[in-house]
Amino acid sequence: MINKLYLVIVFSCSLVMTSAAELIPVDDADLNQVSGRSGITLNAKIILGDESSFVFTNTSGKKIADATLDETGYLIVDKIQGELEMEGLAFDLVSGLKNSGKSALQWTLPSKIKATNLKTTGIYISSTEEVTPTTSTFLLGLELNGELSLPASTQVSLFVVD
Amino acid sequence: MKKLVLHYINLPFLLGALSIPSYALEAMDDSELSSTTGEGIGVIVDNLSIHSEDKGTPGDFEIVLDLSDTPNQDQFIFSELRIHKTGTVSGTAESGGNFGTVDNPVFLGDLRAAEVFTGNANDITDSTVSVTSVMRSEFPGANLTQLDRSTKRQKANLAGYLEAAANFEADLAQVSDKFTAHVRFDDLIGGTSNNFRAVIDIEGFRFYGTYSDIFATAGHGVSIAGATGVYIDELTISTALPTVASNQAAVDNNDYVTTPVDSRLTFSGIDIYTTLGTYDQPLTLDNVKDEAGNNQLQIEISPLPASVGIAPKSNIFVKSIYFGEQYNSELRTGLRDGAISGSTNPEDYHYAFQPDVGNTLEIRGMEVQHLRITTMDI
Repeated sequence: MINKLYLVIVFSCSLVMTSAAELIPVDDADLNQVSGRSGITLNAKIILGDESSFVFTNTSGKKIADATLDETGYLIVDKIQGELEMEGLAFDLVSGLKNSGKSALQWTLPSKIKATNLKTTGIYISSTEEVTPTTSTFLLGLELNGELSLPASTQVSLFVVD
Repeated sequence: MKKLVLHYINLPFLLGALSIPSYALEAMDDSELSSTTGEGIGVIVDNLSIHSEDKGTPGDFEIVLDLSDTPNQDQFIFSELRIHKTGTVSGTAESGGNFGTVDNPVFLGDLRAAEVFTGNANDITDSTVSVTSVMRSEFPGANLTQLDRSTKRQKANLAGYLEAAANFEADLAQVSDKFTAHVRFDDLIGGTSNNFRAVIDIEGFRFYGTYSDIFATAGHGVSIAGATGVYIDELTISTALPTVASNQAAVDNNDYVTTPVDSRLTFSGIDIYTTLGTYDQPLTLDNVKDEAGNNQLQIEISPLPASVGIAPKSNIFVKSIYFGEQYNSELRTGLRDGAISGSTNPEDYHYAFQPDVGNTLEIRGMEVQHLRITTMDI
């Protein structure tokens, strides 16, 4: 019983402390911009080691188990590596997207995207799932370096189309 | 050195391709087909603006394509990437443009039924098709078709053409802002020779009629039927970098392009519509072996079935071409009616490659009977 009483007191105090924060009125224009939002904003940095790769398998329209070696090919983006840094990426859930009545997942894209030696050592067409000198042919390499800015608060909204 | 040339990049196809799992699509039975509902994912982009600084200055950005498996030897280098709303200044908070609306968004991924040709392409009596499921992706304005901008049509009824062109612009404006893009192109040869090649400025472009259907065909796997349409107000290729004087001249003349005028080649009023595969002639990607036994990437638009006979047509129209400035005195071809000889008003003259009515360049009715692109050693 005493424990329950303590819990009630602590909870009540937390409500009082919360209500002590000053509320600022929001004008109509601001309210029109915001409809049922909830979300997060984050900065992110990812560093990839050179073991990362992307493999697309083409089995000539057959199930993998049914395709012969000649009917199976791989497009491999090999050894993806480097750094990618994003500043100010935000996710929101929005109801009433542009007064349409639709709900949407809304991304505010980062204001800055910085790539440092973000690259693949090669994009290969291959007859094996791993890149080897005898089964894989180099198509091209790709490397990104530098800073892209998105200065206008670019927003991407995803929603279901009926 | 290997060389891969992609003539067209179909963005809905690329977006759709990202969502393709690594197993083949399969045809759906009748009960499954009847349950397709046309639902998909809509995407709209508000305030789209991307900016990077001049190459070699803080805040620059580069995309480097290595053409050799030995890094840093032979490269294509793209930098100064900028995309923003036409009429705004790149890099500013006001430079964002909108792409798509709730009613006409970028559209990804509903499944629908389609009749895909599965007969013998060489047999004129064989028109066999199979009903299969396709995954549809669209850009805003996918329902718009190319306007007949031919000189023949304009000469037949100029007023009617101008009204139709204005309506086309108005329809496009409903779904997308106009965008302007800028990119610089350099290359590196032999690891030591770093060369500036060109600056490309694309002013006032919008997509229309752009879609892709992704499905599976026997012997190829992933197959694509689609089309891309784009209208561009002006495309300028410059072979010299901006100077202090050319930058100031651009400011004085309210000109988006900042390169020296003498280095420019400008195409004005460009309308490109091209099909990239159909249900009868899908676009496919395969790995094939060359004569030396090496794997190579093959991009193919299948042969046109004899029973179909006619492939969809693609058209390119270019209204005018400017060599240097629009009013280049060396390209004057005569005085306009009523103008006084020796006039200092540049608009009193006719210029080569700038017809008052019609186009200076038309490529009409291109039908792809069969296309095959294979990577190879050089």
